[in-house]
Amino acid sequence: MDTFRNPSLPGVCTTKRHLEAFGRSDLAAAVLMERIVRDAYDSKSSSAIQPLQWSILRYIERSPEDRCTLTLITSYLGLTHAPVSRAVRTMRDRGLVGQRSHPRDARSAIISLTEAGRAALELDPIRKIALLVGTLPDSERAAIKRALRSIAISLSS
Amino acid sequence: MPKVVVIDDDVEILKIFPRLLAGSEFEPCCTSDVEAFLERVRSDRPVAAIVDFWLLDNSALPLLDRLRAEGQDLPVVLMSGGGGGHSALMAETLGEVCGIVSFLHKPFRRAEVIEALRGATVALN
Repeated sequence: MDTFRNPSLPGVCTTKRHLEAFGRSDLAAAVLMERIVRDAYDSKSSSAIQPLQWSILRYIERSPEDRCTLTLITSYLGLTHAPVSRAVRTMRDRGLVGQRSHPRDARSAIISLTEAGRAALELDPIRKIALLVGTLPDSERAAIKRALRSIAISLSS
Repeated sequence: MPKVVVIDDDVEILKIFPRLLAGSEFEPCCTSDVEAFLERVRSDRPVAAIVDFWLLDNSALPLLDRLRAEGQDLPVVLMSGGGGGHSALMAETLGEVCGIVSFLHKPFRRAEVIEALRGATVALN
């Protein structure tokens, strides 16, 4: 299939077939979505908390203690065991979470936030975006939520 | 006794709710049908609803839209165990965008359901 570079979006290759389905401004909107999220996460540093690690920290913060097991976190995120286990181990080594025995299940451990983990969550990058969404006029807030919901559902189906 | 309308296309899940809420302050009215659910909401004046994220092949989001379109400010507790292309995280996030007050990750325990309903009722008041 023929591909070409879009002069207004350096680095973006697209296909003629795709261009029939969406316009340049639609593609630009997609690039904006990508940039907004990527820029929020300061992943330039190797010590930065990674997106999956943020998801786990957020889950632990708002879940009852006995639901903070590796099995339930993995199930909630819809992932496989290995990456979640790795992410938890990395955060444990960095002092962001702690682990202790589950009082009613000897095979699992309760994962909890440490003070450092709580402090990190205060700087959760996604909150920056939420804050900006919150400053939009009501009609724009409703419109952006509606649009993102439609896109998210379409991507998953 | 305050009523709670529950909708899930899995009748086995629906069978659990009367036992789950027995002895609590809530009385469940269970259905697997969207129109019956809406009729219950209109006629029974429930204090909250528990809605499964997947209703047959559709998500529950259009149903939440219909509730709002009818002017129902009923607190909704969404439940999901993931699956169908959506993780529980995604189901909860999509639900929150639509204004749910709480989320239950399946499988859940009795205490978690009652706590979610109490929280939902407080949110209403």
